[in-house]
Parts: sequence; C-alpha cells; structure tokens
Amino acid sequence: MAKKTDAFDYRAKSEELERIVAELQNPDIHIDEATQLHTAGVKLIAELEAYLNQAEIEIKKHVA
Amino acid sequence: MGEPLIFGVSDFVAVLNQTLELAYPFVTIEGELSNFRVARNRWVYFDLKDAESSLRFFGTVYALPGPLEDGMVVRVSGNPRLHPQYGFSVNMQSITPVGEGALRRAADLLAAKLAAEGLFEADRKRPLPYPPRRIGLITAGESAAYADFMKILQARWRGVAIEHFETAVQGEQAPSQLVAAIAAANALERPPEVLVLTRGGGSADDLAAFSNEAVVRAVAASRVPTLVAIGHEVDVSLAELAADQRGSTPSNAAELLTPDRQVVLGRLGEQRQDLNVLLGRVVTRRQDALKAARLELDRGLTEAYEAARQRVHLLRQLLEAYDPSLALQRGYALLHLGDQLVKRAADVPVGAAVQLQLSDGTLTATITDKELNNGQKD
Repeated sequence: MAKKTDAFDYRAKSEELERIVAELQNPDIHIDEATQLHTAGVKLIAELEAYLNQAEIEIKKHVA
Repeated sequence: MGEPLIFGVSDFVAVLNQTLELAYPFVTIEGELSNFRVARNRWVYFDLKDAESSLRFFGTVYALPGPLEDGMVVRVSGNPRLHPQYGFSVNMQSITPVGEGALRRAADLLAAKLAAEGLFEADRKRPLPYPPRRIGLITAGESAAYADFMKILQARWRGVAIEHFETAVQGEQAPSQLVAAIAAANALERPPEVLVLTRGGGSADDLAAFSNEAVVRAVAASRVPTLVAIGHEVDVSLAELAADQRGSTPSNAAELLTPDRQVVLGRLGEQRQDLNVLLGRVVTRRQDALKAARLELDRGLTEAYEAARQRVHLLRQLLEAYDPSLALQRGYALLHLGDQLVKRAADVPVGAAVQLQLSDGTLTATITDKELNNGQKD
C-alpha cells in the first residue's frame, strides 16, 4: 500500500514550526532550550521544503 | 356495411387502453403548467395546455425536481391512460422545467423553500481543511472542469490524494449520479477530508442538476465538508449556496483548497532567517547577561578587598592601643617576681627580690616594706 503521502502531516509540522518560532521569541528562554528549538526548527523547514518539492498527487478513481 | 360494433363501457375503456399501450406506451409532452396542486403531500395533479388544448396529468411528488408553479413551461414524460371513472390523463413519470424562464422560476421557488429550511445559513458552514490531504472530486473525468482542477492543484500543491467519483454533470442521469457519488464518498471507510463538486459553465439547462433539490439536499447533508464550484463567475447554483464553501470556477476551487507552493517555499525561507535571527538574539542577550555578571563579580571582589583592608587597619589600631610598651614609654613599670607578673601587693612578701621592667631596661629591687590599701601591714 502506497501511504507515503499520508504519512507526512504537513499541517501538524507547519503548526509545530510556528510554535517553535513563538517560543524562540520568549525573552526568558534558556540558551540550551533555544539551541534545541533552533535545531528542531531548521530540521522541520528542511522536511517541509522536501515535502513540497517531492510529494506527488495521487489519484484513485471511483465510478459512482 | 355490417352490424355496428357495440362495446360495453368497461370493454371500450379496456380496448382503448390496450390500443394506447400498443401505439403510445410512453410519451413526452411539452406545455404550460396550470392547475398544479399537491394532495396529501403525495399526489400531484396538473394540466398542460397550449393555445388550443388542455391535458390532465397525475403523478407523485417523488417525481418532481423541486417546487413548480402554474405558468411554467415543462416537459412531462409518462403513460397515457383512460381511467374508468375519471377519464383521460397521463401518468407522469418525470417532469422538468424547460427554457431559461421556467428553469429560473423553478430554481427561485426551490431556493426560497430550502432557504426557509435554513439550508443556506451561514452558521451551517464548516471550515475546510487547509490544505486537505485527501480530496473527493465529483465530476465528469472527461470534462474541462476535471482537467482545470487537476492542473491548478498540481501546479500549486503536492501530496494530495484525489479520489475521483465519476458522474454525469448534465442531463437526466446527472442528479441521481451526483447524489450517489456524495453518498459513496461519505460511506467510505476513510472518507476524504473535503468533497469538491465542480463543472464548467453552461446554459441554465446544462447546470440544472446542481440546482436539483435532491442534489442540493445531499450537499447540505454531507458529513464531509463540501466545496461546490459550478461554471463561470456569474452562474450560481443552489448546490453552491448549500455547500460549506463556494468556488467560482473549477480552477478557483483548487486555489481555495491549497496554498501556492512557491509562496509557501518563500515563506519557509523567511522562517529559516527568522529562526537564525531569533537564536542570535537569544545568544546576544545571554552574552550581555554574562558581561553584566562579570562586572558584578569584579565589583564584589573589589568591595570585599576594601572591607578587609579597613578591618585590618582597625585591628591594627586596636592592637596598638593595647601595646604594653606604649604604657612603659609613658612612665609605667611592670613588676615581676621571678617569672610571674605581679598584679597584687599581697602576692609579694617583704624582702623579696623583684624586677622592674621599664621602657629602656630592667631594674632589680628588694621589697623593704609594704602597706595594703585596707591598711593591713605585713
């Protein structure tokens, strides 16, 4: 079963990225946490870009 | 000339019906609707007329496409019959308004009825997932609408699963096929996240299926949120009013459902910059805090030194105040008996040899007499 397009949750990852950016804007953030968030954010961006470039539209036909 | 053929009344009705069944079992007649009425919510009676003639029709509400009213031009298909008691009528199987005027009037009547039921209310509208992962596409696979929708979708976005439900989008079969497709999509084990019903523009006749009562109700009742995009900008069907969202064209439907990939990629690039700037800001803030802490440390150390220095100075002054050599310099003497410092006259017997320590040396003396403060003598 080809489920590759379903396995990647674009909406969830996109929301996660927004959350990371918001957390990095917190002036009281700890430097360790900021570094971890930055790493996670950069990784998410790369994943989202790869998804946008590579995923394909999959068509199934139903005859109603 | 033979004997005239004489029928009984019932026999003649039966013969006439047999003749009709043989010659015209099923007819389609077009004319103006008059005396239209519905009895007990089930039976429909009306006449069709033109300038010279009028015909009676009978049928059920289930065959109606929606509300109708007198004056509309309609096309009725059915079986002509001579009823033994009520006379001639056509048993209606289907009825459709004909021509722009009648179609528009029929759509207006249905719109008013469905609006009164609340099918078009804004608070019924559900948000569509953005972007959806799985789309149910209900349209004719060979249509320009299908091609346009797919082309725009593919140009804008990736990674969408499209489940295509093949239906006619005009003609007599279209309403039932559209209703069946909506039902089939809703019945899937994993239904799509959004249902798109679309077709290109056309005449009022071409688009009639999307203002059909059963189709409009199926759209309104769909558990899967719906996007209906029919025709060009100017055409509005009732299915569009009942849908959660309306698109103007098939291409517009694809645009409404998905962001533009290029725009999103650009924004991701900006977000990468933002992340770097934000982390840089955190680092700068922490560096500033470190510098401030360093200054604080330095100042603390300086202050501690200064305090220690003052304490030492004070102690030195105290020590000096208690230095016995200073007292000797002022003329006092310390009296020793052997290696004991003498503090009381009572401790020294008369005749004892004592040492007197002065600032510049020591004298040895013998005690020749003593008198205590209480007047006692040795």
